[in-house]
Amino acid sequence: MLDATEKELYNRQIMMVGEEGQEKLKSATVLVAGCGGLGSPIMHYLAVAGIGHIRFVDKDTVERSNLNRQILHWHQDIGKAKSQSAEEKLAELNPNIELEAFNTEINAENIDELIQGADIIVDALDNYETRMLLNRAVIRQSVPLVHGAVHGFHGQLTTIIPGKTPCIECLIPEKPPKEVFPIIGCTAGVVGTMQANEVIKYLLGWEDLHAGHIVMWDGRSGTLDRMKICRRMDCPECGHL
Amino acid sequence: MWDSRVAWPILERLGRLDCGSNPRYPTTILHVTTNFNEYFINQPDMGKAMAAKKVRLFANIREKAGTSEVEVNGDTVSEILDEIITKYPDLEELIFEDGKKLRGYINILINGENVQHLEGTDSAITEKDEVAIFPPVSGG
Repeated sequence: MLDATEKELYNRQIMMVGEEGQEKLKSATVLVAGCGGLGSPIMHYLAVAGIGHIRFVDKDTVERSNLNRQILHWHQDIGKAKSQSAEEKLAELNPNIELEAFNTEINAENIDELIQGADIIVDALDNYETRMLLNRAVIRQSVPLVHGAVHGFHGQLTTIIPGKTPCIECLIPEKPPKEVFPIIGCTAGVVGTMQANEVIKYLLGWEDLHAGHIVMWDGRSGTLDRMKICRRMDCPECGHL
Repeated sequence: MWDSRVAWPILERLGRLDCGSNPRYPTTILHVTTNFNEYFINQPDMGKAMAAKKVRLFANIREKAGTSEVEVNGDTVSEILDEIITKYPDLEELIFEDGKKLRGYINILINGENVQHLEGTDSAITEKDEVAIFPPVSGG
């Protein structure tokens, strides 16, 4: 049940989703993989929207060169674990939600435990090696995954429903190499905010998600493209579903 | 033999197939053969001179070309790539490696299907197809 403070806090969105919708958000658990450029706007908006339980994981510490885009981290946090820095900011942004921070790398040993109990997973990672671990785990546990990635002025997003939509392997059979990528903060802001929007809609049970489509953000022209994408029936990762 | 890339948009318009079914799969095709043949034969443009096809470019390929869409005439992926490189020579190093080998992570989608899961750069393209060249980005 929402208390009086929460009803006031979420008043403007209760106008859209009703108290019932707000309670759905409150009872939800979301795992955000990565507390960097995408993780920052994703968790800002999930926290202030009143997602009841946000779990997040990152193995890195804050560096000065992160601060052009990773808006959860400030100058005072340089050298601090990103998960801790994120937890401190989110706790102040919304004291009414539960936070669970993991300062660890995501690997084959801990991934299932990290996902356990989450209603939806958000990919805010910076490399495809870890994304593939996440992709495999969400297929195994049949949990949706909101994929996002950014570079320069460009970003991509798709929502993966295992067995119904293409998975990351269907879409990107050969992975681009890990790189020190150029990026302007607002690219991560746009794509991360769209990812949070997907999560909120999914938790509310609204159906018009970017499932089975890839959304391409081009910040140079300020335009979005949306393309249909197909499952690969012989996909080594999700073809059995 | 019909060309599967020609079949796709027709079958799709007939509403018999969507992303979930593979039109290149003979068993799937069998279900629509009658309807398909009718439609195929009645297509006025079928077998005539090719029309221009539009290819959507994304991310750094779009930036380097300076355009989001390019018109081509080729009938296969490798033909249209040749045309695109001729028009925009700067794209060659982004799209190919070791001479004429398509870089593995450059995704070419025909109606949402990756050509790596079709016939690779031999995959055929018609003017009805939606073609996109999409280099995935990886940062986060």
